[in-house]
Amino acid sequence: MDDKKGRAIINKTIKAKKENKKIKFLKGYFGDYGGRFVPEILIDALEELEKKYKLAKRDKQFHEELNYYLKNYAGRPTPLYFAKRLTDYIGGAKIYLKREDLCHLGAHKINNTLGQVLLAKKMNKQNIIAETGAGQHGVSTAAVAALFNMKCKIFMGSVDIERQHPNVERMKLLGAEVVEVKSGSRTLKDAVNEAIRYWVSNIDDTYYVLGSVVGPHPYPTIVRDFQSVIGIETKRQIKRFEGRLPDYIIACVGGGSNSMGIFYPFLRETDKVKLIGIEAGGKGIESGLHGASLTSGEKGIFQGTLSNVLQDSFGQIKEAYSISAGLDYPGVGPEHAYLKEKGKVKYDYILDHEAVNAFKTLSELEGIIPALESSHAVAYAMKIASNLEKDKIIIVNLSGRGDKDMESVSKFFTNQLI
Amino acid sequence: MVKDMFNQVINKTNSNKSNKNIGSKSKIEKIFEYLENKNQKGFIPFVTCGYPNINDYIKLVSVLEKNGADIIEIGIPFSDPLADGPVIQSTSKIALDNGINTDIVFNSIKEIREKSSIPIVLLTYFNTVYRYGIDNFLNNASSVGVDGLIIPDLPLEEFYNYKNYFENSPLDNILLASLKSSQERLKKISSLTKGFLYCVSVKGVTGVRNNIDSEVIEFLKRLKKITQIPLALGFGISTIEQINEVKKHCDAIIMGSKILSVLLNANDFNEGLESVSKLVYEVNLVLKS
Repeated sequence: MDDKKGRAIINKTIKAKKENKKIKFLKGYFGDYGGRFVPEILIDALEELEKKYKLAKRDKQFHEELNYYLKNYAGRPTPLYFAKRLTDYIGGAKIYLKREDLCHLGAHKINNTLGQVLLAKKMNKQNIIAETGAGQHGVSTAAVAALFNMKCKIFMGSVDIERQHPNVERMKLLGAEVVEVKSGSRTLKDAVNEAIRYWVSNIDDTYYVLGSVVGPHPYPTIVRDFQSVIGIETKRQIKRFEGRLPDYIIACVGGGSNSMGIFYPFLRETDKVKLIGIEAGGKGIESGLHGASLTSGEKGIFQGTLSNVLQDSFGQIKEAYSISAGLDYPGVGPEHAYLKEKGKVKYDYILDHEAVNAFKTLSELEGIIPALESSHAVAYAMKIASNLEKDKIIIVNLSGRGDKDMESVSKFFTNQLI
Repeated sequence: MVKDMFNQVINKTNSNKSNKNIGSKSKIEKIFEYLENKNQKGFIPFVTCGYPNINDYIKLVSVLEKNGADIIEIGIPFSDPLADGPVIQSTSKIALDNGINTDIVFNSIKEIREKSSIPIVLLTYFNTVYRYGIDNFLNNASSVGVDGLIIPDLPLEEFYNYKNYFENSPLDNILLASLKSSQERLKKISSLTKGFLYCVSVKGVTGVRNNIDSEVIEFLKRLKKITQIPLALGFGISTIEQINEVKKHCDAIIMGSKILSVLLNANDFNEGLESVSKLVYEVNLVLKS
């Protein structure tokens, strides 16, 4: 009897293992997450993109060219900076900042746009399109398109056009056409929808530079790979400073490109390095006004990928909210959903007012104005550092600079006074 | 015994039919057989469930049937309809603002079924099905009288991952073919689709257009060589001229944005409905002659 039971259990395990294997080998999937849920017409273009990307990945010349521009145009490597005054002020673990805010155009976005536009050039596509929320990815795409003399269209929701107006002017100056998106919630998610619709309609000569680790396969992989330069540099730099790996790496997660970029090279060392992704808690999870798809979303299919999504009980996509336009997205990269499920990365959230407080504190103590997105990661570091020993090391990915957010922050304080 | 084996072989060769349909044709297959015998073409109008509101949408469906529709395609409104242009985006938004959800869609079909047996196919984005529970969705759909299912964001590879669900359902799963699909893909798609093959006539999203892409006729001819399954042409079909150009190369026409844009642009629903009846009557006349 027991023997029979035992055998049944073994058989079950073998079956489960087989199934696991099967899942792993599904093309474009991270466990259950990912895939390619798009209209048939896009499949051909995505296949071609995947093929060309695989070739480029093995092409020495492609890497040389990309590295040349990363170094001489984007300003890499970016420094890893020990924030001494912030560390002293909190009085706990040592806090380092990975200074992606010092990249050309003020954010990590350039790492990906340079890679993808070079890829587009290889594919002989002359027209570049991109979506943008906060405007950072739009500005970065517009700049690189100017650099390579390509035509560029940026899709941006009318709500975002209003709250990130300086970036609209920058894109125009860089020669891009900014297409106002008036459908749906008129923010980032609708800009993505409209960019995809435009791409479907101009598939033969257009390259879509997707700005985050979201969307259909192979985008989550491509964007992650191009952003991994952040983590690769960080690893080298912290070893030089401290002779060892950090104890914590903290990064904010909207779609999740800067966090994937810094986490990815550390995924094999998660026994030593705790990776923490911080979502936008907005005005609180209970309020429903947030962008925390990993914390409170559910499995669903949104914009071409199966991931965690903010949705109602019938699968209609909910609008996200955050004080930072870059975290205001109801979906998240499928690899993040996978890493959460596997317990490789911990995800938590920070509220608007905590992020604004971190924005102010870092500006006052270090003379560094962080983007509101990155301020979420800074806020979380401040929260946990005080409870940690002084010999512990935290690295925060400071993904962008905060000049663009001056207006949002002063508005926040004015509203608080009322 | 030998006969059984013979039947199995037949079933395997006829890949357009699943095991569950042994010996019995679906309503959609029957209607295409009927049309072929009469040498006529099918007309498949599209409506958004709950646009302009739930009662008027049911009225619209019955007017479409009276004016010659062979199959009705009903769209479940979705918040982020990637494959749709401005017209269906608008009607979807209005429907969602009217509080339409998946259960209401099923109930509305039950209501339509009280008076009509016209074949009904649902068009839905995959998240709606996934969130409802794929089994649940397929069961409820077939129990209220839905005959087929079109999911524009579930291409071949993803469809394949969920194939078991569809094979166990009596619904016809209708797949889409595009101008950019390779020959190899077209073969696979047409072997897996049931009822008919949805041929997308544009490199683009749904919407009102005045001409036919130059590649369409070649595309339909190519498909005719690959498959016996009926070909329904949709996306951007709006005028009698377009229909005259393509009708001898396909088996049915799907028209959505044009019909809905007539309603969107009308002063009131009754006026719109009158224009729609006229349009549909004329379109159908061309298809049946």
